Amino acid sequence: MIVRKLPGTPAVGEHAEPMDLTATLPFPGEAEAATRGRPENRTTLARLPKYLAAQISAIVAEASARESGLPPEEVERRLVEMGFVEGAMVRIEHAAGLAGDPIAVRLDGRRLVALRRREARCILVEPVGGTAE
Amino acid sequence: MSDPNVRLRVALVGNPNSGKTALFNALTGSRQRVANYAGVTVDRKLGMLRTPQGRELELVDLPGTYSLRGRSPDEIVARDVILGRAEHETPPDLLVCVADATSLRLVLRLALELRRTGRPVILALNMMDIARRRGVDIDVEALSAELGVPVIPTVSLRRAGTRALLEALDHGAARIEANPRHTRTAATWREPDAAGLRALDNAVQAIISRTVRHPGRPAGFTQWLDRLVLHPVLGPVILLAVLFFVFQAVFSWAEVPMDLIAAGFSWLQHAITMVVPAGPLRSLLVNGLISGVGAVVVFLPQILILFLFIILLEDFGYMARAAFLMDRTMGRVGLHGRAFIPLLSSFACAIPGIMAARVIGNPRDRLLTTLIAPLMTCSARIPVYTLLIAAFVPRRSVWGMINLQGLVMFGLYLAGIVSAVGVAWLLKRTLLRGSLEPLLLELPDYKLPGLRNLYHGLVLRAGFFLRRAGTIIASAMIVLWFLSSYPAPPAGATGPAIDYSFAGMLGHVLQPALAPVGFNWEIVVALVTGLAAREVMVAALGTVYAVDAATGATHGLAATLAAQWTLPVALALLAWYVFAPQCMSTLAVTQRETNSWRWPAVMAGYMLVLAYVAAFGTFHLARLVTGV
Repeated sequence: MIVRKLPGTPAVGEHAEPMDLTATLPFPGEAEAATRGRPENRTTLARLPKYLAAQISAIVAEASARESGLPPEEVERRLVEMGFVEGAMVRIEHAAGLAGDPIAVRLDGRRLVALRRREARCILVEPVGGTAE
Repeated sequence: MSDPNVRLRVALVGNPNSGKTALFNALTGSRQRVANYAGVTVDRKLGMLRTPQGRELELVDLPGTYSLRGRSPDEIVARDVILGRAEHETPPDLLVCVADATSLRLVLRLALELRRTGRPVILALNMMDIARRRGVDIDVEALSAELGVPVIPTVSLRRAGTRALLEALDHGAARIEANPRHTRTAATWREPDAAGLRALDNAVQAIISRTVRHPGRPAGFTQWLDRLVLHPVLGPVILLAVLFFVFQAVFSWAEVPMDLIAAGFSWLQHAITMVVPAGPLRSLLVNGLISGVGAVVVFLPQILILFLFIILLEDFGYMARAAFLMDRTMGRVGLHGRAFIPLLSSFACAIPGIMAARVIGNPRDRLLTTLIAPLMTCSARIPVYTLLIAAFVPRRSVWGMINLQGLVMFGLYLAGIVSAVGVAWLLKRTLLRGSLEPLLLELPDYKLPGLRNLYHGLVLRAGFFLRRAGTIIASAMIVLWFLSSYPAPPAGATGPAIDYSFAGMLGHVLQPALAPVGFNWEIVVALVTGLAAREVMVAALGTVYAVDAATGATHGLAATLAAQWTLPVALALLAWYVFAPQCMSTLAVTQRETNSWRWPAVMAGYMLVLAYVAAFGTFHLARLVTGV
C-alpha cells in the first residue's frame, strides 16, 4: 500500500525531527555550556538572578561566538580583558529596560561592567549563596 | 649631554577615562597642537614641556587604549606609535602609562604589556586624591618594585600635582641620554592568546593583592545614583528628560549669542560697504564671503552648547550609562549602543558626529553609524526649516494648546530619526550584513567633570568648526559667488542678476530633473549653493529673489516666498531638506573617515533617492489634498 504524503507534512515516525530539548532555554548553546561543569548549581552569568553573588568558574566562548560573528577565542579574550576571569566575583546589579538586557555586573565588588546576555552566557558561574547586601 | 636639537619624545598611554588628557593639558599647558595621524582621522596631540632641569621634551597624548591589541582605529594608532610601526611618526623614547588609581587592574595589564616592548616606562598614578578619599590604599614603593618601573602619584587637575612626574621624566631622560646605544627603533611585541591574557591577568591580580588595599564596597554615591539612573523604568525616563533639557538649552541659550554674531556680521557688511567702493570686490566680500561664512559661524553657539553638555555628561560618567540604556533599542535596528553619542552629536552637525563614531570598534558598526549620522537633523537645517515654516505654516494652535509651527518642526525632527532607523535597518540587511559586535562597556564611577578638560574640549571643537568655516566654506562661497555673479546681466535686464549667471544657467539645466517634485529654477539654484553648507540656501534664496536676507530681513524673504510658491512646493522642499543630500563637508569627512570613495557615494546616493522620493510624494500628496 502506498501512503501518499502531503507536501510539507512528514509522515509520523519517518521524517519527524527529534524534539529539541534545548528549545525552551532562552539561548541556543547555553544548555551545553551550563552543564559542562561538574557542580550542580553551576549556571551562566546570563541566567544568574539579580543581586546573587557568584564566582566565575570558566569562560566558554563558543556559546556566543556564533551570533557575534567573532571567533570564540576573540570573544574569550575580550571577556578576559574586561576582567571576566576564572575566580572573579560577579553580581548582576542592573538590567536595562523591560527586556533586562544588557546587564551591568559588579566585578570583584568594585568595577561595574555592562555586557549583553548573549556574551554573559559564555561566563559560567557558581553562586556562592545569599544575596550579598 | 646629547644633541640638544633632538628632543626626546614621551608618549602618554592609558585607558580611556584615566585622566590622560587632563594630565597632558596640565603638563603642556597651552603649548600643544592637534593634528591628524597620516591616513586616519585620529587626533594627534603633541605638546612641549619643560622639566625642572630645563629639558625640553615632546609629549604625545596617545588615544586611550586597554591593550596593545589594537581593536579600533584609536587603539591601532596607539599601538603603532608605541611600537614604532606608525609611518611618519618618531617612536617614543619613553612611555608614561597613565593609571586611574581608583581602578588599577586594566591599566596594570597595559603597563606590563608596555614593559615588554622594551621601552622605558613610568607609571603615573593619576587621581590619587580620589583614590585616597575612597579608601583605596596603594603602596607606591611596593608597586614600583613589583612592576620594575618608577611609579609616580599625580593629581592632574593641579599643576603642582605633576611636579614629581616632571622630575621622574628628568631622571628617565638623563638615563636615556647617558645610554650611547639608545636608538629610536621599532619595538617587539606579540599579540597574546587567551591563555597569555589570563597569565597576564593573574600576574596583575597577584601584584594588586600585594600592593593595594581596597575598601569593602564601591563608592556609595555612584551606587545610589545608579539605582535611579539605570532603573529599568526610571532610567529611560531620566535619559529622555536629560535629552529634552539639553535640546531646550541648545535652542534657548544659543538665541542671544547667535543674534549677536549675526549682528556682528551684518555690521561688518555695512562697514565694508562704506569703505570699499561698489564693484566686484565689494560684492565678493559682502555677498560672497561674509554672508556665506556668517551663515555658518552663526551656528557656533548651538554647537558649543551641545558639546558643553556632551563633554560634561561624558566626564561625569553618564554617557556610558546612556549607551547601556539605549543598547537594546538601538540593537533592534542593528546599531551598537556606543553609536548613541555620535548620533546625538549629529544633531549639532554630522561632522563631529561622524568623527565621534570612532569609539565604535567594529568597522561595520562604525560605518553604519556614519552613514545614518546625516539623517539626524543638524542645526544647519534649522534656518531653512524656520524660514519655510514661518512662510507657510499658519501661526495657530491645534488641539487647544499645541503650536502648529512647533509641531511641524517636531515632525521634521521625527522624520529624520524615523528614516535613520529605516535606513539602518535596511543597510544592516543588505550592504552591512553581519552580527552585532559584543558590548563590553565599563560604567565608571561618577566624578565631577574637570573644568580645564571642559575648556580644552570646547576650544578644540570651536577651533575645528571655525577652521572649517574659514577654509572649506569660505572657498566654496567664493566659487559660488563667482558662479552666481558672472556673466553679469546685459544692460537693461529686468530679472534678478543671478538669472543670467552660470548658477542661473545651471539651475535652468537641472530644473527639468526636479520639476516632478515641484521645484522651480530658483529653488534649484539655491539647492546648488547649499552644496557648501545646508544653511547657505537661505542666503541664496534671498539672492535669487533679490531680497536682502543677510541683513536680518528674513521676514521679508518669508513673505516673498509665501507669495511666490504654493504650499505643496514648500512642503516638498521641507521633505527634501529632511534628507538634504547636498552637504559637501559631510561627504568629505565620510570620505576621510572611511578612506574610500565608495561610502560617501553610497551616502550621497541613498540620501538623494530618499530626498527625491520624499519630495515627490509630499508634493503630489499635498496637491491632491489642497487641490492646488
